Amino acid sequence: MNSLKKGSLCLICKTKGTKKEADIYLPAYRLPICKEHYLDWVVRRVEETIKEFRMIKRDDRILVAVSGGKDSLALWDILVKLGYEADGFYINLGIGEYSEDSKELAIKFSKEINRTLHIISLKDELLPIPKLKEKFNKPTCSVCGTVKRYYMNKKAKELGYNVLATGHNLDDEVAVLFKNVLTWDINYLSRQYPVLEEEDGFVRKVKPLCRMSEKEMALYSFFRGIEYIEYECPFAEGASTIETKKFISALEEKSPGMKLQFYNSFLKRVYPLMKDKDQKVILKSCKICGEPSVNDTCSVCNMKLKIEDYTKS
Amino acid sequence: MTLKVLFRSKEHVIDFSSDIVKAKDILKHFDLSPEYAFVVVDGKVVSEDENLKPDKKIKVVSAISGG
Repeated sequence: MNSLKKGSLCLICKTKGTKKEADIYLPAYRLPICKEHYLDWVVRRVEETIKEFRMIKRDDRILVAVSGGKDSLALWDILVKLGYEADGFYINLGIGEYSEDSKELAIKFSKEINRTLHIISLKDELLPIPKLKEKFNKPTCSVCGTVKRYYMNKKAKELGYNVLATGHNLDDEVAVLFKNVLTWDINYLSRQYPVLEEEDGFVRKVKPLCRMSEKEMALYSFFRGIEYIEYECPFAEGASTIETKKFISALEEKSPGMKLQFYNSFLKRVYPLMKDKDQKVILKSCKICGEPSVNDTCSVCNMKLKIEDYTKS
Repeated sequence: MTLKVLFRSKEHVIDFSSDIVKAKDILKHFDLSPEYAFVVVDGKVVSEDENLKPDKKIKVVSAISGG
């Protein structure tokens, strides 16, 4: 059985001695479940992941990287539900209607859960993504990723947060793992862990949704009534990651639970063999902004310098 | 049968040759898999085998994202 059969009862209600029709079926867990128990089940799964990987301590101050999408808003919701000190951080990427809509949704949600949302705009800090795409001859998603990682780390420190939480889900992690396995990229594989400890000017980074699938998170947001941006970033349309995810989903459909097994087995059996095999890069402090950098000047300050030169000329 | 379907914040009007249209047919129309997408009818998630009616409010949610 891969889908909910009419009249199926919630298995959790059943174990508690009550009878209630299930709202959904989770093939990976062979679990028919009602909406109420599903919301609780997701929160408990995330809590278990946080504890297992020792992601967050009770006195940590967490900054959640919020995009306005289902994963980051749901993550923020769950962390607050679990009693953590978690605020949001939104970067306005300047991608037209997409950025405006996602910003509004992030603001609306922050008000609903009564937590602070810090907002910065790339227009003020650097250049909006479409202009960066024009200026630098690099794939848009790659430039966007570099810029986002830079500001997340920098602002987390400036604002006094010691943990940065991102909404990467199981499908995100499995897609990256799959690509890294295809190329046997030891350096990337040795760093693919849901916790990256604080070091060399980086705050601790955690991925508490790493065992929740994309659909599980969309269902959580739907049942919880979280309004999120439902359409894709115009620059991500046709991205190779989506094709990889569709390929893996086809396998998952045939063998439910395959994604979770692939990821869990990597963490349990392969990661321990790889974790010390990466070529340690000695990081410096960027001579301009002080952020960790491989070179004397970090990539974002380099972009800034090129933009200034371009503006002057 | 003609159905109005909300997908990614846009309304789509879809003509089906058959009078029996199931939720899985809508997913197929948008080239989506039940592994990462689902259909909501009048605010309720439905099974892929659910028969859909034109007088209902139908929405498709795709969870897949490239970000």
